[in-house]
Amino acid sequence: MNDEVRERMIEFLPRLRRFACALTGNVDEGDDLVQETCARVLERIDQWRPGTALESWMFRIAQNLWKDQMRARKVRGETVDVGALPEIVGTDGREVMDGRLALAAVLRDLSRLPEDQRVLVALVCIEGLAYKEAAEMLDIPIGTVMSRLARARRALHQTMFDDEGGGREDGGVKEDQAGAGAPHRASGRS
Amino acid sequence: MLAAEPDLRARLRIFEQTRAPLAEAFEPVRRAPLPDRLVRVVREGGRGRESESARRTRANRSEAARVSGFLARATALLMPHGVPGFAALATILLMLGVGLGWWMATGVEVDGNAGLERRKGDAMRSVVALEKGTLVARGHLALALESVKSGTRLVWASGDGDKLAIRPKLTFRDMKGRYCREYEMAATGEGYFSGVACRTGGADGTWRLLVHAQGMRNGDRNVRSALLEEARPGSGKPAGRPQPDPAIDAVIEGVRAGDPLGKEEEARAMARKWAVEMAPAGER
Repeated sequence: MNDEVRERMIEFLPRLRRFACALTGNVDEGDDLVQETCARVLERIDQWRPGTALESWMFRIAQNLWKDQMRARKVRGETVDVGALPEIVGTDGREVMDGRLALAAVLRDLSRLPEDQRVLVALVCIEGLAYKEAAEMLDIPIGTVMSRLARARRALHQTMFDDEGGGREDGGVKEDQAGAGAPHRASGRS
Repeated sequence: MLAAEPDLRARLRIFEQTRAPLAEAFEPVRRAPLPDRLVRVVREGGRGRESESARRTRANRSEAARVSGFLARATALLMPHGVPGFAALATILLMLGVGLGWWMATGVEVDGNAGLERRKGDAMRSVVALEKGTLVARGHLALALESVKSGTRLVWASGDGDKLAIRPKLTFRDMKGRYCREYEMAATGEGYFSGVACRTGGADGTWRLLVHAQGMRNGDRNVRSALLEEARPGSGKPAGRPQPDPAIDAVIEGVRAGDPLGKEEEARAMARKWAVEMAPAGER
């Protein structure tokens, strides 16, 4: 494997970090995931065909590793409710900036989404992938991508905006929204 | 056209209003300087160490399923592979018993039932000490953290039937590469505690406590009695399932750098006196 590939990977790291952070809900855990992903990619680099997108392959590996981890945690009976640990950003005693607060809030909102939806939000809304690319990466029909995303967006919107009265700052997200997968359908109206 | 379709318009509004905050919130992550460890893994990874790192990942993964969860651990205690561990443990207890004046090695048994003469109420106090403003493990706790593999329960019993039980639960490494261990502990009349300690210093280093918390929740009582009274391997039933302690979890999430160590990995680290290798690529 040549160093050109390594440099290309490094160039991609900022986006992979962002993606991993969105999945894990935590910068540090995200970095662990990135590290593991890179190790895995390098192990299997001979399976990569030059000319195809190294980047989506890395997303895909990260996503698979993360799902494995989540499964393992469930087996272990660990708390999988990542929403319970939102302070990761800015626990180091340095002054907490607005950006960190915003990130923490969004991470908390994301962590309440079901895993399938979270992956899609990260890929499409944050990483800017096309629906088709996301569908191929996850091996699901494009219709599923769209309906899952719509559900995720509705849930996110509700936590972001419907929670009136500046509840945003203290992360005042209602408990009953934990099951963000529940459809709040506005169907039947036109 | 959109005006005629309130539903669609509402959807579009949702779409637009959620997109910007999401994208903006993550900008700092994308723009932040890359941590060295990530650049290093890309620059140096896969150069002849593929199998090792693959193996480690696999081992971690299967270990992860094994290492935590009370039932899993209790089962592991009953498994035949535990036996050499107990034998080794008994040896350790005997060896250390010679060195520690107050140690009464009156009866070392499987799973570490060692007779111990202590004054009542001392058990807990004597396992934690304040040293230069930091809490460090002492006595039985230090012994358990230093030399007992995760999942093994140690029980010390005083002459009048009081017991102290300690069980290291799992080992992981923190961001600085130091080894840290989660443990639980119970003593007759003194409740149930759990905590996390990290190894600092060299061969004669100490275990600094990051957290040492008394369990206050329902269910902890059961865990406590399970820890103290749990029947010996072969004759007992696993009892109780500890509730994850948010305080402990938060501490672990805050300092943890990776998955729990696998059984072999933990044994190796223990054998090396928890020395932290300089280069992460150190071991072939």
